[in-house]
Amino acid sequence: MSNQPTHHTQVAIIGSGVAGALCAYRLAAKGINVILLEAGPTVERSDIVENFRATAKQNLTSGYPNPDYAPRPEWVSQEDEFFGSVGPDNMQPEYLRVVGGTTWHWGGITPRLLPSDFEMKTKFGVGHNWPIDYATLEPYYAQAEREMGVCGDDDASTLSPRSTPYPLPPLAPAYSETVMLPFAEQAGLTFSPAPSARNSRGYDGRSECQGFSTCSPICPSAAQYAAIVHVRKAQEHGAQLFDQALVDRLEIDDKSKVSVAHFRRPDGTRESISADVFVLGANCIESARILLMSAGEATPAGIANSSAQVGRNLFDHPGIDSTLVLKQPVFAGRGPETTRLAENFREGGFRSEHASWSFYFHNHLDFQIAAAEEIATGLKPPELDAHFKWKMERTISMSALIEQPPVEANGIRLDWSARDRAGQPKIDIQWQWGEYELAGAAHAKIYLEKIAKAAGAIEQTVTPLYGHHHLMGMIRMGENPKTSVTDAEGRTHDHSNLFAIGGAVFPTGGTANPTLTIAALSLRCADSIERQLKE
Amino acid sequence: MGKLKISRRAAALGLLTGATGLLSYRAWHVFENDSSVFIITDPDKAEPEGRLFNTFKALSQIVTFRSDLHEPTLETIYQVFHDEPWMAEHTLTSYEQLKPFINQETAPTSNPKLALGEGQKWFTEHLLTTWYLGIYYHDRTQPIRVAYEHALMFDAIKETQPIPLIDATGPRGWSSKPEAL
Ligand SMILES: Cc1cc2nc3c(=O)[nH]c(=O)nc-3n(C[C@H](O)[C@H](O)[C@H](O)COP(=O)(O)OP(=O)(O)OC[C@H]3O[C@@H](n4cnc5c(N)ncnc54)[C@H](O)[C@@H]3O)c2cc1C
Ligand code: SF4
Repeated sequence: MSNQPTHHTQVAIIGSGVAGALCAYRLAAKGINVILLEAGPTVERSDIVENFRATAKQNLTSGYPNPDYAPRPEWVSQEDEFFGSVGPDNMQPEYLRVVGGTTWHWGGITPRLLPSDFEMKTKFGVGHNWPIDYATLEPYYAQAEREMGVCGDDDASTLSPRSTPYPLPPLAPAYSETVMLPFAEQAGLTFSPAPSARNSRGYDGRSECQGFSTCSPICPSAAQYAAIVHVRKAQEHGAQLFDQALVDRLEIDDKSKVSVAHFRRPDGTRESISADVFVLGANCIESARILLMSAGEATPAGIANSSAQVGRNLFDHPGIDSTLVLKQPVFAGRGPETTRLAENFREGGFRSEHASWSFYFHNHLDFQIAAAEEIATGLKPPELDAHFKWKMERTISMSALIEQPPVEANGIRLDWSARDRAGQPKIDIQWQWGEYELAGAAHAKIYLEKIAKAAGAIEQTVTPLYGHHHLMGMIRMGENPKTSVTDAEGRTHDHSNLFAIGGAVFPTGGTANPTLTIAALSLRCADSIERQLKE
Repeated sequence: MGKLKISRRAAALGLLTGATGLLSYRAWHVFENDSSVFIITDPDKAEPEGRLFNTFKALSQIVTFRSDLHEPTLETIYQVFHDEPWMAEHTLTSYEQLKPFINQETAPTSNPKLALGEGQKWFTEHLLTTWYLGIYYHDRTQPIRVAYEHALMFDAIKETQPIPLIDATGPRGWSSKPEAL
């Protein structure tokens, strides 16, 4: 057994992303002692903006730290040394390791799941049912929307019934969307304002959206919600933040409770913490790694893993993108990344046959890649300038975000023979697309092509299926301890004082970008922890 | 020698005469209000110790077709190139090969009669890429950021699209056409 822990608290939360931050905030606001253990460093928004301007590598992660003591995947990690292997199909698992986590560079789109998403097995014979229904989570959706400052249209028809209005009115559409929506409507899609955690007016001390159009990788104005908001609020209510604290092992006692979490500091020194309750919110891949790394004599397959389900059933929202060059200018690259969403194929009887999908235009341009392509054509200034400007004014891309059912074979394995830069066993990811999502993608592609035709596009490129970095599964919740890892509250079946939060606990993911549901589940989990502490 | 008097608009239109209808249509809009005259530094007038820098500057002006290059960026790019053993020779020979085309009606690098040597062609394209992207790419080193907002790709679009992480449309400004139109 280990030595005396160096710290003690009532609730130790591992990971300060949106899941951990909201849970910490809710508990600290109730007067409960909370320590947030975060692997990465504290960062300032202005430094991140400056890093992006200063770095030569231009991708969605290049402005964020990637220190040896808390390494993270590089953008498009198929070629990355962080993972041992990923494949055989293209996944691009990607997340940040800094205080506040991955929402520093998310896209801010926050639809709710549909009621049927909670009953996929019963309604469509696909995937699993959740152990809770939509009505149970609905009040927490409303709270999460208030916390994050979600904008949306109360008058728009919605597939997810609401008990409260949106905290903020919808964002005005981008000019590019105003040009493109009629073509998409000709193709048979209908649009409503996309619920987004982006300030359509000043909210919660943060400014109104200024239209920088760099929502992902960083919003310079803080108009887009990021979990750092709730890390700070949790601290204001007394929660303590231990940054640069990489958790690598949980220990259980003879009553099968988690007694200690061990963590490593950047200089290699080791500390530990005991707590009444432990909460795992390190993003689904890292949360699963911590459980598997904690294998010991009493738990040879890892902590909380009597079901052998930890590390299995990893899923995402696969996507296909299409980029168009049009005859007329659309002036993308101005304003929020996306403000309108088509939900026509999020729901329908077809879900027993193929995946559902949602659709949106990307109001974002990658000038650097486009400029490099223009130079490669051999054009020289001033023709190069003229043609580049002409093309940038006429380029727009669009995306279908597709449902993916969990498959047991998709998941992670630890390779103890290889270590990452922090000395943790490397992660091998087994990842293969299934017929269900491939059929959904084929259906969506028909619409992408119809839209290109209606718009009279001069050029169209369509990507193969890729991952949206919406990491879900591997610590899934369920009623049956033999087939799931946590109960409906996020409490692990095996250890009554260990909870899991984040996309990891999702049994299925529909076509709702996951973060609002993560936030709602975290707030609900915090309430369960509070009740448990009182008992 | 040293003053090339071509209006950027006239040059663009000249070049685009044979291009697609769509392209030449756009060119009117690109340079409509631009009457700037392309003037380059004359390296021959520089003191011997400043000659390489001035030739590099003149070459940069020629390949980017801009008189008004941002001086601090020029100095940064010069420094990065200067670290390369082949820089001086390529700069001087590229300039010598382009010099005869300076007093023409079209931009020197687009002149159909121009026949740069293989090394000079590579070098001038390398220089253009560096100026345009604001990044120095070469096998010798990791890519080096030499400019952000002064990268010329942003010079080309800044009238109608904000430079990422620098400019914004302002609240709801994204809903209408760019103000410049
Ligand atoms: C480019 C991109 C765009 C996205 N866009 C959207 C979108 O528009 N809408 C949407 O809903 N979702 C979007 N997402 C997904 C969204 O970012 C995630 O769902 C969300 O951030 C998950 O929150 P989390 O708290 O579970 O994990 P994270 O935010 O990743 O936080 C986990 C934290 O745990 C820490 N941690 C990890 N390992 C350890 C350890 N061993 N010890 C201690 N701490 C540890 C990490 O450093 C991190 O801070 C996007 C993701 C990406 C990458
Ligand atoms: S458009 Fe700009 S201000 Fe608005 S959310 Fe995106 S980055 Fe922030």
